Amino acid sequence: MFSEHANNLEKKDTLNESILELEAYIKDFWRFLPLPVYYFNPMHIALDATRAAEDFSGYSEAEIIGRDLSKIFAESEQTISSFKKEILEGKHTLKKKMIFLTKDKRRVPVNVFVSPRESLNGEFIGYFLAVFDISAFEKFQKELEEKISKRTKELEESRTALMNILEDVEESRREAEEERDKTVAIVANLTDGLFFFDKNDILAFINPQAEKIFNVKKEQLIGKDFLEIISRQELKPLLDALGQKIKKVFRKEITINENLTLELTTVFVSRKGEKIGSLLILHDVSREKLVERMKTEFVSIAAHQLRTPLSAIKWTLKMFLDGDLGELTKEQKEFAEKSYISNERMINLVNDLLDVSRIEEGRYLYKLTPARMERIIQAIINSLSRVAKRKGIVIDFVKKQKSFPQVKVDAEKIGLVIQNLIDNAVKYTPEKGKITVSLSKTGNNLKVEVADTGMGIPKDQQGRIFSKFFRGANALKTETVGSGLGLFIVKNIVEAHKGKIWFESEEGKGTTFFFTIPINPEKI
Amino acid sequence: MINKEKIEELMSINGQVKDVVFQTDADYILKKYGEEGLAKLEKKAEELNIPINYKEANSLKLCPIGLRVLSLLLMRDVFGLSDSEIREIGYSAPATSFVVKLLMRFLSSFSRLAKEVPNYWKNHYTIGSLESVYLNEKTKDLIVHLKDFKVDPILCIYFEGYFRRIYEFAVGFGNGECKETKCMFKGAPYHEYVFRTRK
Repeated sequence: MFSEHANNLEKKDTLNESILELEAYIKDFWRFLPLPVYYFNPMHIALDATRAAEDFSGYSEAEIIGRDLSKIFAESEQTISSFKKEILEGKHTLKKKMIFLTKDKRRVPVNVFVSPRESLNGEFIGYFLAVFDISAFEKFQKELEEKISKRTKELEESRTALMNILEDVEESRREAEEERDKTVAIVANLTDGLFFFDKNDILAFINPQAEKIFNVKKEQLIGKDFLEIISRQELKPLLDALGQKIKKVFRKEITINENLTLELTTVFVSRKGEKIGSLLILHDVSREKLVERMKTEFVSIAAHQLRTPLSAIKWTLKMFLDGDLGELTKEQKEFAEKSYISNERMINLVNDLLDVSRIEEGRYLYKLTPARMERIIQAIINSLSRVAKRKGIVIDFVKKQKSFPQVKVDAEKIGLVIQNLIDNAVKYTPEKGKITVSLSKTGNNLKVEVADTGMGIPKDQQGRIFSKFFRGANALKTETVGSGLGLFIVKNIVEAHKGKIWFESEEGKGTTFFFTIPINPEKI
Repeated sequence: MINKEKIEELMSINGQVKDVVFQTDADYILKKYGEEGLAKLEKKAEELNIPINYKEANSLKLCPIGLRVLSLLLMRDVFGLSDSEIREIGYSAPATSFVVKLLMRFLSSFSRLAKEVPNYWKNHYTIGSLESVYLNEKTKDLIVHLKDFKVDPILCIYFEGYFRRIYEFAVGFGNGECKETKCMFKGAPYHEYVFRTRK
């Protein structure tokens, strides 16, 4: 009996020791745990708290124990009530973000973890509640959000700036399009025909006028090569004018049909020194041609109508002067001579006008026959030497070769050329002057030079010297007689023979006219 | 003042209490007066031949009820504590008591507290009994009677604090009031403690 009692006491002591050790262990653990952890009973009253909870909250253990859950957090009564309900209903760990209230009234954002406890018989006996300070995280998150917000703002500003740029670009594009539309409209409505070939001679643009002129459709031509395009029958006039490739031409006349004459000009378009294409401009000159033709016809008719009565006057005056109609007094004879000279001038002018008309009608050259240039020249010099001699002017004829080949020319017209040039030289060379006519063979041409020591042609008027009715200002002062048609006729005659004419002149010193005539012209 | 007669009188009382009370007393002294304070208390106990070992108190051992009273009287004498401070010692005791915490884990409702009151007493004291005589679940009003427990008036004050804290485990920290309305030392057949929540 005694030993059984002693045995029981021993067992009790051992159990007590174990319980005490367990108590000490739990206390030590709660002191050590570095996380703020609370233990609440089912009525949400704190029964325990770790040392970390004391440090975190600022409350002592005595102040924590017995504290209601609602006093731990800075949350509304409704939130706490709902939270308590969740705890009591929950079987599993609960996590919630809440605001923790410290003794010194700081509000700290925390994540709260709740783990319910049950007794051995399944009765809910409270819960552990741990708080995890997320203020640093929140601060970081806030800073991150601020940074993101700032960056978003910057991006939005950039986007706005970009949108503004895009709007500007769009505006510029619209303006450019408007300009382009305007240009297209102008080009489309241009009365000139236009072809634009790119740098590879591919047709990039053709305007409606060009389509109309050649009776073609742009769809048939755009994107095609120059050669392919001008090979078409409708565009043959271009091939005739330009040949196999686009070359520089200026106001070259093209006759499409009887009623349509065009002037073709090519322009090489470049940007920053680099060729970007070629523009073919076709200007309709049909109306000008018609007017010119009508004018020429009028002049021709008028000249013909004038020539008959002028001839009658000439012969009548001749009869007076020759005494066929009786002797004239000295005074009557002087008047008759003056009338005769004036009439002669009138006849010459009418002849010149007729020549011009014929030239413009393209029916000026009649008789192309082999001729010797030196003989034509010599004959003209002979006929004018008397007039020259009266002014004390010597006319020299220099043949630079011993012999010259024959040339196929309209001898009468070439004679007219030489006569006009020497006649002008005599007219505009002062007394005691000198005229030198030279003949030479240069290559496949015969070259004629008529040099004088006359008044020369003013520099600023040299460009118009071959124009119809043009006379130099200094010439007008000294010689009132002259139609201004001579050099125009001369130039047309030379060019009709496929020859060239030009001059060199210095005012006050003299002028030299040059012209060439091909020895074997291919076709005149 | 504690004297030999008083010590003998108290030590002659039958009944025991959980030794842990010395631990809760020591916690209070340590917090309020530090190690120096506790040393002073121990020295005084030694001088008076009062066998209290504050450092080796544990939750499971039992000690004479007279010794528990002597600890309170010693503290009052050594530190000149007022009644209010004695109440405060009682108030702080449950918060540091492992046994109390264990019991309070099961406190799932106010009515459960009233139900657990007798058990609680039995777990701590071998004499006397504690009963709930009135309970209002809605107002949280509670009246308990402590019977057959006439030890020393200082415990009446101590229990006002102690019971209040226990009550607050059900109504929340700082929310409770406890007042001894009847006392065996004043001729009543039992001690009556009335609990109310603070309005």
